Amino acid sequence: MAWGVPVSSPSGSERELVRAAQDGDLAAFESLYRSTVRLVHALCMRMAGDAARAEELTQDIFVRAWQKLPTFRGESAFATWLTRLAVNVVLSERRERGRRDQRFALSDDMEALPVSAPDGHPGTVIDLERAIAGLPAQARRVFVLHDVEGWGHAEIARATGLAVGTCKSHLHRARALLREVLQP
Amino acid sequence: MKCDDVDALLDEFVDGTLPDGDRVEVARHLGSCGRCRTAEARTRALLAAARALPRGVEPSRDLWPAIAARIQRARVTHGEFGLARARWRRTVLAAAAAVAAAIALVAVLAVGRHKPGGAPPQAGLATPPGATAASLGLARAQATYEAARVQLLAALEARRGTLSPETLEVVEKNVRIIDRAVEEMQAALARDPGNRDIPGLLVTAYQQEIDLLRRVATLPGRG
Repeated sequence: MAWGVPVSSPSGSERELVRAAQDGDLAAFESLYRSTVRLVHALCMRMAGDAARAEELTQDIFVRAWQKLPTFRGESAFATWLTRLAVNVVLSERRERGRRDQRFALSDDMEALPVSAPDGHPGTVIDLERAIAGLPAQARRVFVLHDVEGWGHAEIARATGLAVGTCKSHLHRARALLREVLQP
Repeated sequence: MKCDDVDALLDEFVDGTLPDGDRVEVARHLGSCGRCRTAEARTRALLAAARALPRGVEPSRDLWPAIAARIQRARVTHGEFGLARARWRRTVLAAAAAVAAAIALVAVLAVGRHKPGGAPPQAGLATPPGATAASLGLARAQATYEAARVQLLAALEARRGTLSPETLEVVEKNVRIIDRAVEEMQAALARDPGNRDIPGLLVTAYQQEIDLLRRVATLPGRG
């Protein structure tokens, strides 16, 4: 179970906003956006590891959420549904980018480059955020989903299309790299 | 159980998902091995820090006007997916991302610190006859990329003495791969200016080179 996102049923006012947005009320959707954008943007920042791409992805996610709103049946909190959608958008964007990148694939040893040492004082929140952003892409996504968002390996494997064992390997690598980079 | 065995099982031990038999063995080893105990303590500290990260992070600007405009402009109706439009929009957005990344990179070089969210500079290009908005977007991204690339390569040159030969070799090899891909795609676009796939590929190549060089700018030095 994720610890980052409330899993309770939507509150009364949220249910009304969702219903209004499902009926095409853009102002109601804006209220939903205002209450959840920080959550979505944080996820995108950590998954993408890039500020510009995170804002682009955040926009894509809310446009997609508007399109998919009719499929939201209110069985979970809006933020829970939105987070799941956000992860799918980020991962599918990555897969599409990956397909394009295969046309000029970088050499395998790129992953062997050292992780950038974060600026600032060891142990700070910004320090950890920067260290996460410097992880190799697959290791970063698995670390964020498992250790920040609280997903299980089976859940991550389903979303990413990776084998459970591969997810565990990525997590092991991410944790080892972060321990190394963040040690005082 | 040896240290290597414990290292392989430490994640699941810390996560509390290790089967009982292995858990007892790992715990026994930890009781007698200071090095593995340190690794365990540091892993637990890392997880506590990860769980304590702020749940929300404010974007550097208000994204709603752009989202509302996209919803209105594309006349997105519930359950309707404009695939062709979405594809082209991704291309344009990718161009914008390349520009933003290039600008962020220039900022890194200028002040030695990444500051996202800066305004794009004016490329100052003359408008060629018959140019479309999309081709102009690509031209601007290209101009910004070229400017950032020159500065970043200069930064790489300046850091040459502080990076290991192995790191330099990896970086230079990948810069060559990207440069070759860019040349091939520019040639293909010159032969087929109406091709709608090449601009997206080209922008991705720009983005990759900028990402690579930005990574180099922040790599730890030797020693």
